[in-house]
Amino acid sequence: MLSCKDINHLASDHIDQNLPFFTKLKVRLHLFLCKDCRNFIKQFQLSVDAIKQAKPTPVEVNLDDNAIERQVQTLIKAIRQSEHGSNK
Amino acid sequence: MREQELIQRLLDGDEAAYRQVVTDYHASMFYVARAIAGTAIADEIVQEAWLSVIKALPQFEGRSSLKTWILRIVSNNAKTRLRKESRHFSAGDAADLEVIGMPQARFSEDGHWAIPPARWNIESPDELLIRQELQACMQEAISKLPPIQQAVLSLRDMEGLSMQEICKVLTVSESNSRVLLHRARTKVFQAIEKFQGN
Repeated sequence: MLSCKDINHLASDHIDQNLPFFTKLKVRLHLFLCKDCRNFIKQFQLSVDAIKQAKPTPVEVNLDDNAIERQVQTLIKAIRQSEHGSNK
Repeated sequence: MREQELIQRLLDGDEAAYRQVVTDYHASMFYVARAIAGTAIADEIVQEAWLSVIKALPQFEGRSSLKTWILRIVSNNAKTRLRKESRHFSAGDAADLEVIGMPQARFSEDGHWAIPPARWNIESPDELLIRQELQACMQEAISKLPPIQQAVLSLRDMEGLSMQEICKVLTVSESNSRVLLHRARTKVFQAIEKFQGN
């Protein structure tokens, strides 16, 4: 029988449906019997869904409109230079 | 816009198409560069990678998605840069001593919960995300993750890459990437749990 700690370690694989058949059965049995783990898995799933939905960008990735525009202009300039070079 | 159409517009030098790919891919490119080569030169690697993308785009054969292809260019550029500086990349170095899931103190000796998670009384991610402070809390938790965990979490949960694609981009084994993903998710979970408790 799996312990709550085992369920904790398997939580990501469980919600991503990556567990082998017999491990999946053992997890389901534990969840059937353990209210705390059912609550943990439900809330763990909610937090993963929130990450997927919110797609939070950490502060060190500077992606404001100005930064995007600067990057785009750098790329367009590089393309024009390479076209100019290949036309010579 | 379909990917083929997007690629054609990129080949034509269409500014709007470049604006779209920069907006959509730049953060992931930064995560990959930083996970492999470190914060100091990550930005530089991303800049070089964009130029490599422009040069190589006419040869793109569509054997993977455009995003995966671009991220592999970033990964290769970052590794080449490391080799030039006689350093090497190992995704597991910083993470091996960390516990895999919740802290040991949350469990009793027999492996059952000693301190189980409190109930959040929330039924959907929308209810979580409705609070700006909570979004900021998630953002902060993700910012504090080790770069390799941040890269795996971003590629998997925010960009929707498969684990196989992530392994190829970051050159980590599938088992290692799954451990890294679980550690990252657990830390974000703990940050939300702490926020809910306050």
